[in-house]
Amino acid sequence: MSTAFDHPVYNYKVVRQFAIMTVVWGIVGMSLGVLIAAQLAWPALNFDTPWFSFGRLRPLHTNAVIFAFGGSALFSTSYYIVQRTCQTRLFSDTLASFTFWGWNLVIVLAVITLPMGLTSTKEYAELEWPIDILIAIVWVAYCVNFIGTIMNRKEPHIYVANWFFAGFMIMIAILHIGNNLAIPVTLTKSYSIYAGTVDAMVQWWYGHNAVGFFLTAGFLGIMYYFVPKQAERPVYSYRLSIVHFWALISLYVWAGAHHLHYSALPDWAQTAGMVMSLVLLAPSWGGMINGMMTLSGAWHKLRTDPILRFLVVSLSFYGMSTFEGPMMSIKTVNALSHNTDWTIGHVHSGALGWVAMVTIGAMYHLIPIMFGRKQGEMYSTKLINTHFWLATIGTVLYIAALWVNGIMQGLMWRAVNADGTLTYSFIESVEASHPGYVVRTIGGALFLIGMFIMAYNVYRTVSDSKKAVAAAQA
Amino acid sequence: MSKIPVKNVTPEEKSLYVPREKIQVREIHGFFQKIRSYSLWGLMALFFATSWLSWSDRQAVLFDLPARQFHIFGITFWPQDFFLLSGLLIIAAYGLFTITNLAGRVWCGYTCPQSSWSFVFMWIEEKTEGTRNKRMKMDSAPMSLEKFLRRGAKHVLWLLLALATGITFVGYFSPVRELVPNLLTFNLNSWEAFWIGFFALATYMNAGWLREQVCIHMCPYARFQSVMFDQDTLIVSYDEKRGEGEKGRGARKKGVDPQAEGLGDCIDCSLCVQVCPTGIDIRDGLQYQCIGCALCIDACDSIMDKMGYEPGLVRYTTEHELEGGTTHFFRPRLVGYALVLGLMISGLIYSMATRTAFELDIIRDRGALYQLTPNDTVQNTYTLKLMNMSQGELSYHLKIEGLDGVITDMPETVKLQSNKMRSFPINIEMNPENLSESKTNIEFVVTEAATNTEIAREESRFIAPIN
Amino acid sequence: MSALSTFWNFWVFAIVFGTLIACGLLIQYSSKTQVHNEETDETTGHEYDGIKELDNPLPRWWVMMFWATIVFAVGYIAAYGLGNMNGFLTVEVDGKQVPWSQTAQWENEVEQFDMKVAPLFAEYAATPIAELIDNEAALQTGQRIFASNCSVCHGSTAKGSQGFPNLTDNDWLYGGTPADIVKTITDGRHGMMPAKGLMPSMTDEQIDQTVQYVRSLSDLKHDATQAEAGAGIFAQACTACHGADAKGMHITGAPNLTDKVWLYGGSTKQIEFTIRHGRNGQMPAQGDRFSKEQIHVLAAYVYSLSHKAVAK
Repeated sequence: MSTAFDHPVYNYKVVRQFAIMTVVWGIVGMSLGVLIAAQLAWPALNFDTPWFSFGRLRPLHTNAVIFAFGGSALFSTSYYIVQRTCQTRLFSDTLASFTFWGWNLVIVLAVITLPMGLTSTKEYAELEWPIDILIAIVWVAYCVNFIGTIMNRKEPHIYVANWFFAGFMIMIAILHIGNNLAIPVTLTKSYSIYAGTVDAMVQWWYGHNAVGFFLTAGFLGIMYYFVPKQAERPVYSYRLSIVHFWALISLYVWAGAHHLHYSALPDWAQTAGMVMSLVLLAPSWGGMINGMMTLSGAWHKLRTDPILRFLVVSLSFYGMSTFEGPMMSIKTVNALSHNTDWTIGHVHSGALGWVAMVTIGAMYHLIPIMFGRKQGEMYSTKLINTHFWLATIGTVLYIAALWVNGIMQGLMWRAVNADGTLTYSFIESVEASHPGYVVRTIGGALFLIGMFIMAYNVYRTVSDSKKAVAAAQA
Repeated sequence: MSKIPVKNVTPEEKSLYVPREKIQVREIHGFFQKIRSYSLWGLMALFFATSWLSWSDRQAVLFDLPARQFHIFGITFWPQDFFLLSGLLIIAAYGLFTITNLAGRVWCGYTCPQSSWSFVFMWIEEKTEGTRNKRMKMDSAPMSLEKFLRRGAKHVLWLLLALATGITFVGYFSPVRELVPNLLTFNLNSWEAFWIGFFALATYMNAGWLREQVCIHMCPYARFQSVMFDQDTLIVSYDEKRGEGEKGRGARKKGVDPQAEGLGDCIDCSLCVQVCPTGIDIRDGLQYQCIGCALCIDACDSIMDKMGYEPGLVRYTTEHELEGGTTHFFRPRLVGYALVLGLMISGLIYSMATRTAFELDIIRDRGALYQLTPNDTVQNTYTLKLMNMSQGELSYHLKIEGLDGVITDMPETVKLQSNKMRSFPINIEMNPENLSESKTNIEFVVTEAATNTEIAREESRFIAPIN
Repeated sequence: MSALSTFWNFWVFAIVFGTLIACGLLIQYSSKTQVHNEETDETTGHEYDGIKELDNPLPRWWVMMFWATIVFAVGYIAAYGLGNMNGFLTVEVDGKQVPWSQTAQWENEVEQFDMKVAPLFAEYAATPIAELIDNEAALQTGQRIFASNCSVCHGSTAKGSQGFPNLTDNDWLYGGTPADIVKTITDGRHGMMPAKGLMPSMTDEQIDQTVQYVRSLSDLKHDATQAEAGAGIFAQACTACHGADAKGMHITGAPNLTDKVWLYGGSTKQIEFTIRHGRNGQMPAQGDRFSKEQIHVLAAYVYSLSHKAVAK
């Protein structure tokens, strides 16, 4: 009956804890996103308080969705996958438990300090130095636990998902420590040890790899396990996975410089960053092809299986945003797109379309197993379907609105009259962006409603399972 | 002592790139093919012809990037109108959802540019190199003068069509009636030349060489459409129950009753496979490669007709129907899509219809909230920006509402040429004794002089120190 | 831009081309080895938690695309340069072809643009300013330049604010002829009112007296006895710049104190502050930012503000 107890050897407790927190932090992070999206359309929504102001909540939103929601998903799935594919229990239960409580403490501290305005001002790394040290300790514990488990494996080979997880973990440790080196002044204030352009370059080396390793390599690990599992098909090509893994991790570290086109960064560094971003297209698509082709022979299941739908759509968005990204890194395109809403639309086509959708698909597969059911056996499949439609429609609204806003802003900012004066003032472009901001808020809200439906579905699944267990014991 | 048998275990050295096996599509005629040829040729013709249309004295559809003006027949869009574009994009997405939920990948099969151009490229191939059998023979034959000429002719025609496509595409951004003479006299600027080359090459590669690989490996919409399917979606399917007997399918033998032999209606002629542009066998069920072009339906129906069987062994049908049930056309999801789509289309039409070809922006001075004049009055400064987005010269009356006793140097009437913009600063002066609050909401109202209709109303504030 | 040292230059080349070559080797290598196991036919023979792996070959178009991006990368580097190496791409700056750099590209774009607008401005520049104010189009251009560059201090309608002169009242600190205006825009102006004028020993009482005298000059409310006493101090401390009649002097930029136009305010408090602490006004020079022709048009607009009803 219950698959969860077929393998008492595995540590499912930490997987379960992180899986639940994925849903919880997903709702928190996305609610903040919807709030700040609404603030751009209706500024009064900051209620004239500093704590609710856009400048403080925006970092909290990015931290909450990337590190709290995405991080919990990565912890949960990586602990699950590494045990299942290595046929062994986690290296250390104590370390597992430490990573859970430590990571959640980090997030709670972020929720407290960021609205207070305590920030190191580095994008995606705003947390101040004491929290940074805590993150580093938790992260090292995670690496030790994960790699220790791989070393204890009972399989001769290491599964491809674990390569991606290990790669992402090690790189994030280096990036986090490298970028956050700072001289503390007080408990809540520090200054980066880098100066000027070097600081900017280190920041974007970190920033783009938060995307490249945290949100891409890690989630490719999720994809490589849950897509073949849910489709019940073998992985399409082992060879392709080798090629795209090595190419992906060696090229992503270069890409950060494309955030600094036409800046004080030396020309050659911009050029190197740009060409590597372009070469990255093929390795990225390698992951998409491998996932998609794995589904061949299981295509008819799409008519009935909403979990598979989530996974397929996530791969499509992955393919689209990894095409869009290299295009936007071309200097000429970047000259139009930089600093516009197009960038935010691009990020969200990756964040909502790829990261969130693949996570949601994986969670719907995983959570029932965690609570003693079969894979994908949630309380209600209909509600998963509803969630899927809300998520897809929400993402479409969001991306369409911001893409158009971005192009419009790029056009308006660069418009000049025949005599060389600027045609539009900045405020006019803001005014013209207003309809787009409203649509984007609606799109984000739809996505968020989907998350609430998921939470309800998870709640019912868990409570029903507990009842079933109680009944079985009686 | 017998020898131990030895097996050679040296792996064969072979290249492990998979070369694409070229799919040689067999031409077929039939009902769906007819619809396809109308829609695919038609859309392509529309693409070419539209660029040459004129509207009053300019190109009818012209996206003038340097001027930031986008002309579509009688309307000129400015960057400020771009939210209409996001409306259009969202409607297109919902349209795709709706039609796909109803009838599968209709977009791919009948309207997609990739299908359209591949279709015409294949037509050229058929005309230059001959039918499927001839082409396959030619592929394996050694090079000869005839092969060289036929193949050469094909590529020349392909390249010409690709070049025309590139020119037309660029022609929507740079007036085509100037672009073509410039091209012929080598007077293109470097951007025009680059983009013409880029699009020509992309067309040639996509429609000539990559074809179905774009749909199979690259196109994200292919997947989006597949997730829109449900069990009531009309999909090109093979009726397995009818096609396969106890012993499966098979060729007919003379004088033997196939049914007695345990064979279904499928005679295994493989015509459906030969006509498929993505090279799949529809009899294997729903596959991600299927673009829903229905050529296999035409192919199979023609055979069924010859055999004297009922048509429809391969047909548009739903999973429910294939399982012996009925199709629910009016399912909540489809109805929901249709409703939302309808609402959004009416919304867009409404906003297009009520769109005034005029824009007014009011920008308050940021440097100083107000100025005190020697006459003890308070003065506020605003910059007015007026844009005439219509197709003719118009005069506008300007008015300020919300303040009594206002003194202003704002002109009463402004005249603007078509698609021109004017911005100018104005002062509003007030005696503070006439003000009751330090912040008064005011409105700038613009009426069109000729028709005396109000076309814009923008809110702003008048700020004064009131003690 | 300072050049990289030999080592770092080598290093940049080594890691950039090292990465590209490694990608190429990776593709090449993966086309040679064969992983799949004879016995399990198409799969690699590994199985993880029920997941098997096929070993399908790489799609050829994908490999081609990978190669194409690598070739593009090499070509792009050759065009744009890397480390201390300049690319083959050049841009024209100052009539010379120089290797591409973002600075050179910017300079080139500015030159191109200046060349594009030059005929328009040359046409305007041919008309004297006093006549150019009748040219609507020129004034609109001048207004846009003013709005983008001058309105931050002088306000969109050029009415000024405290410390920034009103340009519409035909009251000029440095003269209001077209030539004066052009000079003000081109070279800037520096107005300096020294604290206590020429009389550093001025006492608090004397300051108050001078304030009353200055207010009396333009018939503002004042204490007549104090003003009378102030007249003497004014003659001693102020007339050198403001003139005996207090009508100011264009050559020093000293304002006319009799016309009720106040740059820093005419209240007792403000005048007292002015005398006690002095004032320091700076109109920044624009000569480097605009061409002579552009300044000509801008000056015409400024001139028009006090010489004709504002063009709308």
